[in-house]
Amino acid sequence: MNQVIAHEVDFTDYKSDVTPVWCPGCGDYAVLSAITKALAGLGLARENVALISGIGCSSRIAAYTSVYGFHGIHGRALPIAQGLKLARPDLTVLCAGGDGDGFSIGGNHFMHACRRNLDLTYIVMDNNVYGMTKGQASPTSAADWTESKLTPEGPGVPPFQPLDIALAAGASHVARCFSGKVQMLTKTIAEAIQHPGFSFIQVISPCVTYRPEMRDFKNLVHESFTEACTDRREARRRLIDDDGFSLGTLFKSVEPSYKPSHRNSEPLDELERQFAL
Amino acid sequence: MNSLELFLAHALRLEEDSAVRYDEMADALSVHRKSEVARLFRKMAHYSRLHLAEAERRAAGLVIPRLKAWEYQWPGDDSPENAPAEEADYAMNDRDALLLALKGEQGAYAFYSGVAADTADDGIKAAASEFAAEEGEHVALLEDWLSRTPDTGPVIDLDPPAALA
Repeated sequence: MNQVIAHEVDFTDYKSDVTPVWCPGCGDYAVLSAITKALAGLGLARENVALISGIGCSSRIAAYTSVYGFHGIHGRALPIAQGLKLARPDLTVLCAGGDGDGFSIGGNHFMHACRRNLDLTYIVMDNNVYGMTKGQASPTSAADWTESKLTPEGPGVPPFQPLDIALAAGASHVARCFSGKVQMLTKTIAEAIQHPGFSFIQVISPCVTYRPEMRDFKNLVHESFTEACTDRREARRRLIDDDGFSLGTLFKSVEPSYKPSHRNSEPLDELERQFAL
Repeated sequence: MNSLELFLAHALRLEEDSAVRYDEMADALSVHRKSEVARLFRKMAHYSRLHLAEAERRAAGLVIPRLKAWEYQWPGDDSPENAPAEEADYAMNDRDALLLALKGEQGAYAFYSGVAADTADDGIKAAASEFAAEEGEHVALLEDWLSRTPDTGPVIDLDPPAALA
């Protein structure tokens, strides 16, 4: 449930006083802007929103907002976010990070978060590179990307396909956006927050420092997912012809979420007894 | 744009967005110790805030609609005066920054001029024309500034990313 406040708010109210240390030109600035504008547009009270992140350049985003935040450990943003949502279903829970954090270190959690379909929004700022550690190939780097000294002949394996995996694993809202299209990104984030289930948004977010060629992505993206499929098989078919630059909401369907059994918690002395060696 | 109130809602958003974007770029360049370029962006943010104050004066007494971020009718993908952030770079020089700011101001000029040209409402036409003229002055100012700013090439980076080395 997303709790709405009565008075008017501006998107800058959702930004913190912490100055981002992202590189000039980084796409993550636009994602920060879109998240704060989406929250303002929906009129969500800051104290009822939590943003959980992992590790990496983009995962710093939690500190740059004024909602509750948790800068977690590498690849573990989703377990933390899911735990929070289960414990506090009244909160609006956002989860954010990069492609390395989400698809490599946290790849396993990504698949199972899709399966559980808890009502939270996962935003992955995908820059095809590990930027914080100075430019190594990430799960979404092309097999023949040769600009990293660690993989001078390219990573040699096909890139991870986030939308395919999300669809196959059970995410109920799947979208792709581009950081250079801020208005579209803002609207998509707002829709994802309102969607009652696990929403995944892959945001192509250029790293202009280690992948300067990504500046040209603005000429490659195209809004091809003009209307969201409600049929998972049809969404998969649309991905067959996807060149990785199709933008829009690919799939949206209201589906059951994982619901844990709510048995009464044990008294503390009983828990201590169970853990005694 | 069918009312002065709706036009002013757009003008208020455009100017605030622009100021925030310029400040953001100033902050980013400051973090990377490019204080001269940062100062330039800070100055552009100041100009945007002056325009914002003017739009607020015009809006006084009117009921300005509160639009959600995705409800604004921008001609492009973003608020029109927003300088294209993806063209910023940690190694940019003063001239690069001026060129970037020029794109932002040209975007605002085109937006206001377009509204003035397209509307049949005299009130909107007058306000949009006035705002366009002011943005036009900024464009001219930046062009003049550019003509006096030589291209010194990228700032030397002693430890460049592998991809750029």
